[in-house]
Amino acid sequence: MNTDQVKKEKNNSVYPRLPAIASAAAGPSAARFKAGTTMRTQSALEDVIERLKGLLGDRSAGWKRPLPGRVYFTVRREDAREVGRMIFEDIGARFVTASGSDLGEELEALYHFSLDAVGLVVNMRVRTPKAEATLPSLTPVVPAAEWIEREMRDLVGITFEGHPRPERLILSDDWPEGVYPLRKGAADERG
Amino acid sequence: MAVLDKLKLWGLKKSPWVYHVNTGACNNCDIEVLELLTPRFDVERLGVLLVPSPRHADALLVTGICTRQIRPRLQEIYRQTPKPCLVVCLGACALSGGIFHDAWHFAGPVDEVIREVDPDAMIVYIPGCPPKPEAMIAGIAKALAQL
Repeated sequence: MNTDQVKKEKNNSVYPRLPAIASAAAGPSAARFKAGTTMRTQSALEDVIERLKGLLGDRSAGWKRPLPGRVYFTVRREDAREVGRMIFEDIGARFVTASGSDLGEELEALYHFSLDAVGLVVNMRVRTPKAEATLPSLTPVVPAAEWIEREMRDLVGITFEGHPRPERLILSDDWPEGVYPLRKGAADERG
Repeated sequence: MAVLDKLKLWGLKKSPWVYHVNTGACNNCDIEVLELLTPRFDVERLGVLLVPSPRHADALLVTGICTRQIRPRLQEIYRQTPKPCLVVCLGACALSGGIFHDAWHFAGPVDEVIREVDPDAMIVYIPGCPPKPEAMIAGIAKALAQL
């Protein structure tokens, strides 16, 4: 199909994409979806969520939907990059940002993707035990994640494997290594 | 050279040229400073000009909490500004750190940072978050009247 060909050519560039909602493999409402149009209806939303669940299968767990337009799920570390790629390229969601937190025993990175056409925000949770503190970097598949992963490394101390430029971003040049300000109980030099 | 000093002070009071320094602000105070230059408040009629270099400035408008990264650079900018020079601490963050007072990136209120370089610095405090443009004009007018 024409859209598939165009999509493949564009995938070679740094910013590859048409929203892939118009592909032939979509659900029953594929005929109604046209690339670039807004389909903010309840049925469109449910279709996309079903499609997302089908695509991710057993790689995702712990699905939560606190609001009609928000879904949260957890993925294992090994699957994080592949699931990120699927959400970014196969579903065609836009990467928004990521949040890093210290949960006590674990460190968590929460990636937020937005499907503007249907009004859905997809949140992908990845966790790592604090002793290891490493996660696979999403930057090779989602180039826009580069800076937010550097920021998470500076502030929470998560090391992202496969990151092209793991340098300091927002901490000052004379900030000591190994001191992560947003970890629980991070010592403040002022006491 | 009392005559030359009087002349410099007369120039500063009649037409203070300002250089704006953002030491880590949320930009709210910076937007209010920008409003001063718009036709509604129009401080250019009072002689206030926004200059592109601290070397041309009579007053430094400092906004934002002073982060660790900017602290030595703010001191360098102060040293580069020709004296007599007014340092205007604009907004709650520059005065005392505001709501970020206990944050990990706070490196001291602006007046302490400047006094480390020059204990006799002339510092003006304009509170607010952000300060209203009228408050800023009133603050600068009061400060200039005391010189």
